[in-house]
Amino acid sequence: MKKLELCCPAGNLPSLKAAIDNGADVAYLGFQNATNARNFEGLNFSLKEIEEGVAYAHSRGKKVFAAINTFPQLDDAKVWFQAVDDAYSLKVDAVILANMGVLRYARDKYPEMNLHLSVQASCSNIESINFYKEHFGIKRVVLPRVMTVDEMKVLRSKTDVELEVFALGGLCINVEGRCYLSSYVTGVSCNTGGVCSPSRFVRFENKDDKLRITLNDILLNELASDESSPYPTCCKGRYYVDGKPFYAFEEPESLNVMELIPRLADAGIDALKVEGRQRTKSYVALVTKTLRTAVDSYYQNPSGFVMKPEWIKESNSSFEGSAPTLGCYLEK
Amino acid sequence: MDLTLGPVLFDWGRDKLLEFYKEAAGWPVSDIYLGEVVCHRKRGLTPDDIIKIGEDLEKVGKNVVISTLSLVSDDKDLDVVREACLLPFAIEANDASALQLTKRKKGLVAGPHITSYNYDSVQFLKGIGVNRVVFPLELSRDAMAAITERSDIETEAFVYGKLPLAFSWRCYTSRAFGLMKSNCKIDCRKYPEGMMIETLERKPLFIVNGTQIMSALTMNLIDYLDELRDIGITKARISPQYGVTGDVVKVFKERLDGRISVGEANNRLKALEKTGFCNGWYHGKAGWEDVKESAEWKSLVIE
Repeated sequence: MKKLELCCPAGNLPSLKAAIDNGADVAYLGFQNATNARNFEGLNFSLKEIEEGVAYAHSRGKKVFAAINTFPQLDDAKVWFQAVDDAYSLKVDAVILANMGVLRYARDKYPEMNLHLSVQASCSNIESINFYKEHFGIKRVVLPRVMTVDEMKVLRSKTDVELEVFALGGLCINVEGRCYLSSYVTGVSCNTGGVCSPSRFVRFENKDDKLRITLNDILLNELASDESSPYPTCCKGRYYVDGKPFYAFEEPESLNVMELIPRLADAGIDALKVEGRQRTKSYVALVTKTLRTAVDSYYQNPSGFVMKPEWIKESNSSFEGSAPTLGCYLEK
Repeated sequence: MDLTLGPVLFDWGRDKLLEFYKEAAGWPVSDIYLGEVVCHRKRGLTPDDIIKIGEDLEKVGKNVVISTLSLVSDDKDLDVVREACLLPFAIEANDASALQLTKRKKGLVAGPHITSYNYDSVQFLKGIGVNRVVFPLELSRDAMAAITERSDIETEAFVYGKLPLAFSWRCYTSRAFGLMKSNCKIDCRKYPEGMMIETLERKPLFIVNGTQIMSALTMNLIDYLDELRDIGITKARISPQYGVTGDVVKVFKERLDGRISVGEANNRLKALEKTGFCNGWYHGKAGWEDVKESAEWKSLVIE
């Protein structure tokens, strides 16, 4: 039986090693520039580090994917093309791309390269998958968090393109690649600058016993002393709607679909993705190990799969004060 | 440069839409985009209605384009896209599904939600039969110019309206009523201009329109029509807004023809807009900012 592949985030070399050591089948990473959607200061890999990471993973029978999944503008495409060239020459196992221009370049220049379609490409239906397969020969698509497991299963029955879905971590409630909230408030977004809600625009300020959180001077939330919040983004802010203040878009939640492993396996999903290249090495180690244990437990006894309390505790402890959610994986 | 009328993004209901397009037939726009972009549950017009409206608009010389859904995540969504792609008009694709389903069309437009951020993407799209690109809304003037300098494809810029900022599987209007998309009561129809989202300081920030989040401010590029024309953009899109669209089109047309100053045009637009204007993206800044390029702007203001 082909097992669910575990794709875990690596913001730096120690995190990559932590992912591989704790049971990841794949560590995914990015270059140190705007070509990837986690272009945070102090994060990501130099070419030499990628080389070392690939050697580390390959010597243990594991893989490395490189995310080159933002949208070049002006005359910058050559930087994205260079990233594709570097990924190829560094023997990365697949590149995760989003922009049609970059996809065209990669496919034309490297006919045998494994191209995965990033969640940033907003590809969530069979005709869209067919489009990217026909024009770019994509091997895998990372699905946006907008589908139920039942819908994923229907999709599986209609294509041989591999399906990767998010299992754990920060949750985009809006479809990626077409979300301009951060861009509207700060001028920078994942699409263009590789960062949603950049930390340089975030301010925390105590006022009248409350913690005010602003993004580029726009008030996103006010927290009482007994409230907590994940990293502030527009979609997780609290606003007035029709005269009452509430989380208009999304509660402060993180995705944790570990309990759905049997259904995801049954739906024919190929890979589970853990979000969080910006997170620490200890986060990567903890969530990778927990997810590995849960997935292995499922394959040891598929019909008798039971969530263990310690898996729930360990995975949820990583969520920076936000509650776990199944997103729309069961219903919309 | 021609003005175009973008698709109606809100749920106005069938009667209001029929009336709207009857009026629009007389407006000075070259292209009219019909069809549902936001949510398959809130379609006011049937395919037969759209064919009839489209044919009537063609008779008065309008180029008719059918816009398609921008988030297609289940079979129902996909059926709506398939249905749209069978209509006898040009298509505006807002998802790759529509690009895939529209192979034999008389016109194929890459809509604002296709990621035409750069020359290479635009050239790829041109190569598969796309004949017009509507630039993604967050592109700056310089980023648009970098494409139009090198590509001869027809291009369109969004110049006036509430900005579509995000699409979700979740219906935010239903959420405000304690419901989900699957059991929604079409509450969006109560909000023909969308539902206002204010910060905790009661400052207007966003608008909720079903599964879509929009800007509370109206993007207004009337100051820059000459500049857009100079960089080679030939179509300028006005996004329909409840009750005022005909007046907005009129102001833009008079400005385009040089019959009114930028100052007068802005004064007339201000009377039609409740919340305020923004143009930050055009200048490469945060979208909500309202940048006045002082020297040029002042020199054009003739009160």
